[in-house]
Amino acid sequence: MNSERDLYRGLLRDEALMANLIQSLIDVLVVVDRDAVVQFINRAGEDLLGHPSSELVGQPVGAIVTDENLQFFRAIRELMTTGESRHCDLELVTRSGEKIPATFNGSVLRGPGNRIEAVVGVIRDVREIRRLVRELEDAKVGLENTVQKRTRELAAAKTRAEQAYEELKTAQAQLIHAEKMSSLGQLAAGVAHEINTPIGFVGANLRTLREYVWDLLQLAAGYEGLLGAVERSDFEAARGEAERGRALAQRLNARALLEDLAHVATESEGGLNRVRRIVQDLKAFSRSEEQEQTSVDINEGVESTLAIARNELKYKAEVIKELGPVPAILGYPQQLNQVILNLLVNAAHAFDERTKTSVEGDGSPSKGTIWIRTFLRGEAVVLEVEDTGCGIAPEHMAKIFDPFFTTKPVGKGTGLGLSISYGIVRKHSGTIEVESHVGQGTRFRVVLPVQAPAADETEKPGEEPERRAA
Amino acid sequence: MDAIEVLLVDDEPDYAETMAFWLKAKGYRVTTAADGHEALAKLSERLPRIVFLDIMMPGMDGIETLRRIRRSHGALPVIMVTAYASDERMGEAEQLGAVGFFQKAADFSVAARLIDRALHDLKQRKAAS
Ligand SMILES: Nc1ncnc2c1ncn2[C@@H]1O[C@H](COP(=O)(O)OP(=O)(O)OP(=O)(O)O)[C@@H](O)[C@H]1O
Ligand SMILES: [Mg+2]
Repeated sequence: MNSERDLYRGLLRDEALMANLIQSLIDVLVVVDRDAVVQFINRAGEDLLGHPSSELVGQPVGAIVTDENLQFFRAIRELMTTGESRHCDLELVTRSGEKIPATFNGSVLRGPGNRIEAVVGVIRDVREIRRLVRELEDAKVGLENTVQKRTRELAAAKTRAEQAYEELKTAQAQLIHAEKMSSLGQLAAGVAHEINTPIGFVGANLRTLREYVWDLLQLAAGYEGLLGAVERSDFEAARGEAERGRALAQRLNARALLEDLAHVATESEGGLNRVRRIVQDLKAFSRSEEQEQTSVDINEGVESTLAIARNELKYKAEVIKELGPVPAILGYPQQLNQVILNLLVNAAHAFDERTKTSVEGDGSPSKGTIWIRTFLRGEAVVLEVEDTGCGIAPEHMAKIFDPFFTTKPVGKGTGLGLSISYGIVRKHSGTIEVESHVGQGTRFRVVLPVQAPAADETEKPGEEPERRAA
Repeated sequence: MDAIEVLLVDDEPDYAETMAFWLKAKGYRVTTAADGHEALAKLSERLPRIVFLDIMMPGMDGIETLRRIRRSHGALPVIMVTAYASDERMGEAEQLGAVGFFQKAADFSVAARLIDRALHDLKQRKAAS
């Protein structure tokens, strides 16, 4: 231990070694005397400044620092007076005039009598550090800019998204309205036809009735003559009148006429009832959004919707109603009618591709069948619309409730029917289930709880109604 | 080239020493005096090429010292050192032939330029006369 330490001390005392150490420093080591004259500079200093030591020693230190280094001179002066070490920034000038940023760490050398004789400065070239700092600063600024830019972009995107959302909301509201209108528009022609038919036969019946009345008036006139002859006890005349009357009655087929008369009257009454019914249904259907929930009879809804859609359906499918006794539920009748209508129209459209190709034994195209059923299942009213149409391809199953998903040609389907129905059913706390087999048919089942929570208008995201596919 | 000799007259030792060190660092030879009397004494011993003279000193102030320098040393270039950018005594100093003003707050490099200009002017005047 001891001998090692001694060896180390010996080494330190070795002046050649010390000189070597100083010369090998990476930092510049410079000694400046009280008169600001350079007394020593190491190799690092020579290399950095481009002067050989011989050119620098004996020169005023001002030869290697720029004039702007007030704090450097102040630091040296303070060092000289106080003896306390000082630190400051400094700018060096090389032989070629290049200015080099540096830091200066000064301490004092004392001579005999503890007098401060010189300043020993360690000067470090900070170009690399400055460069790194600048790079870091640039990177920081770049980063800040990027962050700001991203923040702006995000804010803009958010605004855009919000705008888009608002636009979508308005558009959706408009579309819902438009959808309803277009359904009505599509149906208007059918409704006109529905009304025209009874009006047509009621008119024809009226013409028939007028003829019948004419005939009856003739008969009545004959009876009048017969009555007069009997009253006068002119039996000859009476016989003649009776003869004429019988002949007339025979000619007019009075018995059949009387029978038909009753029939035509009943039929006309029925026709007028049909017109009245259609007008009532239309009124019910087109009434603007109901504000309040009312008690809804689903069966009534089915009837009025069928009346509206009859024309759309009747050439495509036979509609079989199986309406069970169901309690009234609390809800929005017009909206539920719209659900029923959408399901019925979809079912009717499901025959568009099929009916034309499938032919029954007698050669006439087979009409499809649509069942519309209502029944009570537990605490819920179930409405089923089942068809023997084309079915839904399994890959479409997940999408059919998406707005604008449609497999129908432009003009025939907007793809809104089911998504709107979905929203309406959800509003009634209900669910829609689908079961479908391609080529065989489809069954939509709407389940509506009897005790629908009142005013369940607030949309709860994530609370999706059940979608079930077979 | 011989070092230019500068006499620095200032009663503030901190400032005088810092400026002296800077002038030395720039290769000037510098002697200092702490007041007007010491300055006149130093001048009688050895004549510098140029004098920096603080305008405001206790006892004999810069103006009085300048007046006496003019009497004893004729055209010796004197630069007045002032604490402020303007000083009411500056006009007086100018009349007494001060060749420039150096503000204490200014960069020392300004002092170097003032010296150069003063010596250049002196040479031209000498050449002209
Ligand atoms: N009963 C069904 N049989 C076969 N496919 C159906 C049936 N119901 C719905 N679909 C399929 O689901 C899709 C979406 O139906 P939806 O009612 O939402 O829109 P749409 O009927 O195409 O258009 P819109 O109802 O707006 O006029 C339909 O295009 C169809 O492919
Ligand atoms: Mg549809």
